[in-house]
Amino acid sequence: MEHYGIPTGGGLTSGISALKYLPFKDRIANWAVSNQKFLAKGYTDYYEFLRRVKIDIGISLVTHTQRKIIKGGIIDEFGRIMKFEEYEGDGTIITAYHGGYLKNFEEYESWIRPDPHEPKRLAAYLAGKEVQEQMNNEILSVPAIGGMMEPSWEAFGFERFSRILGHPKQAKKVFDDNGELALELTKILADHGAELILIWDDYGFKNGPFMSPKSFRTYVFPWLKRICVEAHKRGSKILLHSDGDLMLLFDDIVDCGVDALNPIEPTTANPEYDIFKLKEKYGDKITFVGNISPVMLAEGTISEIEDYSKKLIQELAPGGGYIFSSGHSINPAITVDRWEAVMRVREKYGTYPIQAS
Amino acid sequence: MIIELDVDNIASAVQNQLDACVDPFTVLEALTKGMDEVGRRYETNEYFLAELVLAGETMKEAFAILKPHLTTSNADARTQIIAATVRGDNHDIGKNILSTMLLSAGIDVIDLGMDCPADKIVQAVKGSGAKVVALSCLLTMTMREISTVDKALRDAGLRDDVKLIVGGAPLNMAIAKELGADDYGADAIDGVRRIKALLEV
Repeated sequence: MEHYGIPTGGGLTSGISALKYLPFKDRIANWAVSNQKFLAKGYTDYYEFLRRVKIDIGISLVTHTQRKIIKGGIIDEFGRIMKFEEYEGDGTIITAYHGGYLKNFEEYESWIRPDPHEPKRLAAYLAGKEVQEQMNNEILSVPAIGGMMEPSWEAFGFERFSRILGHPKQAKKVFDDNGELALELTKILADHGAELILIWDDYGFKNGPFMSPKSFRTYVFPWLKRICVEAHKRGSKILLHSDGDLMLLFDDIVDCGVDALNPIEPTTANPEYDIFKLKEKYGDKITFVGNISPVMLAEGTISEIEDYSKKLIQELAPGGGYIFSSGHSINPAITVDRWEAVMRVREKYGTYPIQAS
Repeated sequence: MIIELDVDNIASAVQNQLDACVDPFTVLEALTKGMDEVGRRYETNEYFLAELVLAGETMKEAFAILKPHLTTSNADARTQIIAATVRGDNHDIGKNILSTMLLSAGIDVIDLGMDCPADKIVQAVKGSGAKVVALSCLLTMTMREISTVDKALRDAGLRDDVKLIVGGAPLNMAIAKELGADDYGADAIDGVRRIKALLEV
């Protein structure tokens, strides 16, 4: 952030340091994430940083808040153990998943579920919007909510979750709880004018879906469809984030009515999971967001990065339906010069009408 | 029962077999056949990751009952390998399922856990004489750790005695080789196959 003139130490880092010394830290942290003014202050630096890096979309975190502060991290409201880690290369603080807090279904049933109507949800969204407006809408603030798959398995860890999945009634309860939460939040956010809502989920990994397409059709997609219907009724659009090879789920995702899908992971094991082939097949039904390979960004040459970025814009952007973005994340292994190479390509080739290759 | 993923009842079923004086190795063979079938179903998209992991959980339940009954001499004959998730990386689904699949394939795993520093791996190789080190890494920013482990094994004079196989989201065979690994497993099933080949078992 220093490179872009944003002082570091104002956000997560100082928050973590301060919490170590504060009494009533859970209560103070809960106040902080429920207070629109306090949240807006945090978003100001974050969105300003995005503006300087030339990223157009920032998120406001409507779910995933802490339930309990633990040594080196938090247990979030879904029951995920999240720890703050420092990347050795440049000291970046990363929040990393360290397993599920809930050991079994009995523990799940006694866990207090996140309430969609808590004031902090709307406060987070409105804080993001407030900063967006202060910045003359140069950044689009997109509220992010947990989806059905990731919060379901990460509350337990995958091994314990697989046991839950072996008991259909238990599995249905867990997925339904997360579906109900996401649906209610979608309605609340859309009712308050959110143009785009990010369903922050993960359906798969490099070798395919986390569970069978049949299980997705039983537990996840009925909710996803309802979420899309309710969003569309209110004039909002749905952006779904899911890593992994989603080939076996793609038709379902499109049929549910998802408007845009991120990040079209470029390093899956499936050569058919290729953004150029997918755009050809589904380009009139869904918007594609992403695909600049994080591996290439970290390890490739600048000219490889430039060539691929140019190819994405020139082949996918004509006619619309493509948002230029990372194929997973801009992680700390990616140096500033590499990111700036991507942005140079965007500036040169990313304005309509798109120049042919 | 492995194929049916009956995690709740496998332990009692194994106990019943043992109580009926069925040879523990016959029970183990049946379990292994079950895991092989699960692996086949995974590769043909009948089963997916959740089923593969649940089969692993089922196998673990069975093995906990069975292990004390497998005689010492035969247990000693089992080959050992080392598995770890590289330093800075806290993802273990892939490593854990590989470990369970290896268990059923007759290969014991010294599991060094997640976020594992290279020197701990070197010490484990020295201490165990393991011929294979399997490394998992999910993050682009941690994949360079594979080279660190490769170098640490070289510096310790152990690299010629041990094969390094890797797996994880940002990797493929070319990147794996470039980072100093000998082999790359595309998934847990492929990993087991390749580790067996590296061990020549």
